[in-house]
Amino acid sequence: MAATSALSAKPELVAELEAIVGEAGVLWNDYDLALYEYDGSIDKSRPLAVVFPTSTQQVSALVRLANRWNVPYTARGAGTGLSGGAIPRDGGLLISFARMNRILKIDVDNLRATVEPGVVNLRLSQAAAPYGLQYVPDPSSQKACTVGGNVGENSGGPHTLRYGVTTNHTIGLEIVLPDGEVITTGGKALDEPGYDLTGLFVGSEGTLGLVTQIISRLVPVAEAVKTLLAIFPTVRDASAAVAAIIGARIVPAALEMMDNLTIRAIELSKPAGYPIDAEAVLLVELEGLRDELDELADRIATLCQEHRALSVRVAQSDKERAALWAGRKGAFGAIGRITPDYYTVDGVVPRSRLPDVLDQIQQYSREFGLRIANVFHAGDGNLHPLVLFDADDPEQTKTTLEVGAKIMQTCAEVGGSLSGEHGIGMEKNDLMPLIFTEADLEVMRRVKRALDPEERCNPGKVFPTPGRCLEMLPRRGAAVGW
Amino acid sequence: MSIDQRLQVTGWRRTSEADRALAVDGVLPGYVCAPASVEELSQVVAQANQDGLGVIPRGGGTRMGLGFPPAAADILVQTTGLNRVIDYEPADLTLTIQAGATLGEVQRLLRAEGQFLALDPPRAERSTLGGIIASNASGPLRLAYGSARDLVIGTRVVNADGVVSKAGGRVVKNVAGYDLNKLYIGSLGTVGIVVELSFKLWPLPPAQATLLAAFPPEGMAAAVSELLHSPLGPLALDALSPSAAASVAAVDPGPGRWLLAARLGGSERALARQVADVERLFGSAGATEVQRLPGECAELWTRMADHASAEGDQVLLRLAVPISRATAALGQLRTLAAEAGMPASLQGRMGSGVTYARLAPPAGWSDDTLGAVAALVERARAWAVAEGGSLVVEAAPPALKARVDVWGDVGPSLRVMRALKEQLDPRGTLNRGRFVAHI
Repeated sequence: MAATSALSAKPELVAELEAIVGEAGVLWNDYDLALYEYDGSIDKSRPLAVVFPTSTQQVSALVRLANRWNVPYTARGAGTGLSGGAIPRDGGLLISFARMNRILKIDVDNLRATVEPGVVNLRLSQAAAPYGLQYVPDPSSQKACTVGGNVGENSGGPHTLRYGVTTNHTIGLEIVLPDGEVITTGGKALDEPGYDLTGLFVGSEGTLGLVTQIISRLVPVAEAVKTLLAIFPTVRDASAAVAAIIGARIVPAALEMMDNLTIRAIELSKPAGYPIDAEAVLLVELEGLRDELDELADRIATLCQEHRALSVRVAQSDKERAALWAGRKGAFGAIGRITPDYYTVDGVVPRSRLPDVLDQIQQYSREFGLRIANVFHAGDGNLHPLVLFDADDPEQTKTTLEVGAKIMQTCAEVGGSLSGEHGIGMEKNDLMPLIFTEADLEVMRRVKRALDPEERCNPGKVFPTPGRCLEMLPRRGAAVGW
Repeated sequence: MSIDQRLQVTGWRRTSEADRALAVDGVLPGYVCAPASVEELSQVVAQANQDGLGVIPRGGGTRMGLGFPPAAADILVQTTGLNRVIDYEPADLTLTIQAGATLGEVQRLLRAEGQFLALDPPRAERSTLGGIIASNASGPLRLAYGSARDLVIGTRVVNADGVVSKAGGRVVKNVAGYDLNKLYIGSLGTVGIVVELSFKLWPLPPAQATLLAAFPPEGMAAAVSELLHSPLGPLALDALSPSAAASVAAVDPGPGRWLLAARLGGSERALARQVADVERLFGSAGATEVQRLPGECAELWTRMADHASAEGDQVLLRLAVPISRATAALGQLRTLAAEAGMPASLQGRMGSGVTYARLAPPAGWSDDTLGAVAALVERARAWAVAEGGSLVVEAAPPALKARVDVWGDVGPSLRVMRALKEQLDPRGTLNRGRFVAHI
């Protein structure tokens, strides 16, 4: 097997890698590799070597080398991904973009930024801020995750309800193709003739080539922000309020919901002042011109009250605004305090089906005897059920994954999707038949073959494992705490 | 055995000279049909693919001039029979509908719920959704809402082998699988015929107004830049040359000047603020006259969208540049047209950097005028490429298409595009020869 022969010849491979990226650009002893065998998901797989290129030419040389040695390669940003996108499933080279982290240009006149893939998401917005501009996609991990990783996964975030996700803000790429050739797609100008390769690459989870440069849109920072928090006796009431807000032709920047278990966890760790018997907290953020926000906030408050809100608070200052967000931002951490481990599920359902799906999730919770907390982007129907369990209990771990798959099945049944922002990776690839037919997948496979016929570029991701039918229980190695 | 004996498809017939209106760049397809179901369309494509025949899809017929003349025109497939609403739940702000429906009928359906599909391409009333998506047609509202790639969330297509497949879904946020929606948008039907689409919808802005302002070029560039960098968020911002301004808005900005039209919208309070600020901004940037039009100004904006299309044997150029160069692009087109002795009606989507030139020789097409326009295209394209942009000839008489590359060189990416076409339509069944590099 190719990988084995490469393994036995490791010093020679390392010497070749070092010739490309320098001695300081290669990690290959077991201790170092162990640090790169996982990402934010629960799977693990150890690379042959980790390399840290600093230029497009080096990336191209690394890909050509991988082809010569017949070893697979996988791109890695900050390793915050939740579906195993950056895990070198079949070993091979792990190509880290940590050292390609320059913001090449903030082009204020054209409202564009050109960056290398290793730039941390938040840094880009910070660099644009002095010009009154921002980079919109804001995943919760934005302090750590990279723009390249965001492009790979087509990441979202709370503010994407109004402004769209990574693909809507990515208009040009430089790509090292799986044969080592470099192409550019799109650019600062729009409407480039030909197939929209930029759009095809965003969200392809690093399986079609390696992105080495990104051109993103920048947009003016909103003049004013207003945040409201409403507490509801039931999730159904809160969902009805969401529908009413949308029905009133208001598109908030963010519409986030948390359920009772999450509320209680927050109040047990860093209290945000939520009543612990409330079944749902709705956080609404409005952005726009300062002239309109007071009135819009009043209208939303009224709509919430009409839908049985127990209380509605409107932040009157930045400090109060931060306080309202504190609960939401600390939600995952708070959950972490009441359980040894939790499994973050990512699914999407049509907005109008939210209450039914949440009821179904609670039914799974009772049926399988596992607590499930819900924190989600209510505005776009993107659910994040957190299944609480103990990873040291193999039986419970198995049940947890089973519940995750059940939730995916429910999402699929109501016309939803397996992932809103975390990706398919090696977490849900075997669940793909829940929403895609063999014919659908075959078209995607042909696209893969067009670009990566040898299947060396991040293999084992996105597509169901060959020979497997729909497997309700995702395949897992030993679960780790995370 | 001839193909017509085997196929049971609605409206299947051999064409005759009476069907001249269905010719694509002067090429009359051999057969025409109007499938009444996706299954029928799938059968036609599967059979054509097996027999090595070329299929040309046609929606509302509003953008058939896009692309090279077809290299194969055996069967013209009329998609307008596929126009069923599959799923519309207003609370979800999503719509799933068959691709043969026209945008006009869709907007009426959605308007009743206070919503709309934020696409406003030329000839929206007659254009089918499938045609709009295949040609990636857009309009003035792209500034605020983006183009098809920002609004399409799911596609169902008939692939070149007749197999029906889907990508994306019906939910607004979805990263499962490759985003093939992007591949289909603007692909001119060369990798699949779109038969069903899911869209993200927007609520109609509660209040709207339009400002029209006449500008000298420098003033306009400054006003555009300031407005785009402000938080005022115009819905649309189009510039028109005097002849375009006359036909679209019945306004004469004066020789050498441009008419800048800003469409503003939002809550009543936001609108009041926008109108006041934009008026002030235009005034201080040197607008010689600002006219305020209340309300949606639907007819004005329909004419604005329609202007970026060609009538009869006119030529339509689309020149795209980074946004800060949009005014310069308009100036370049004006100069090149004048040098070619070609009357030009010019328009710029100032927030997108996409400009249009509508050209018509005053005394009809001749070898000389064809040569002059071909030279103009080459010069304008060289300028656009040097600016980091592109030029596409969106419509032209076949005689001009014989002299220019309507799409332009797509560079090293062509290899990838060819590989995709090879995988998805190895026999060249779909719109053979019409897309970039005659793919």
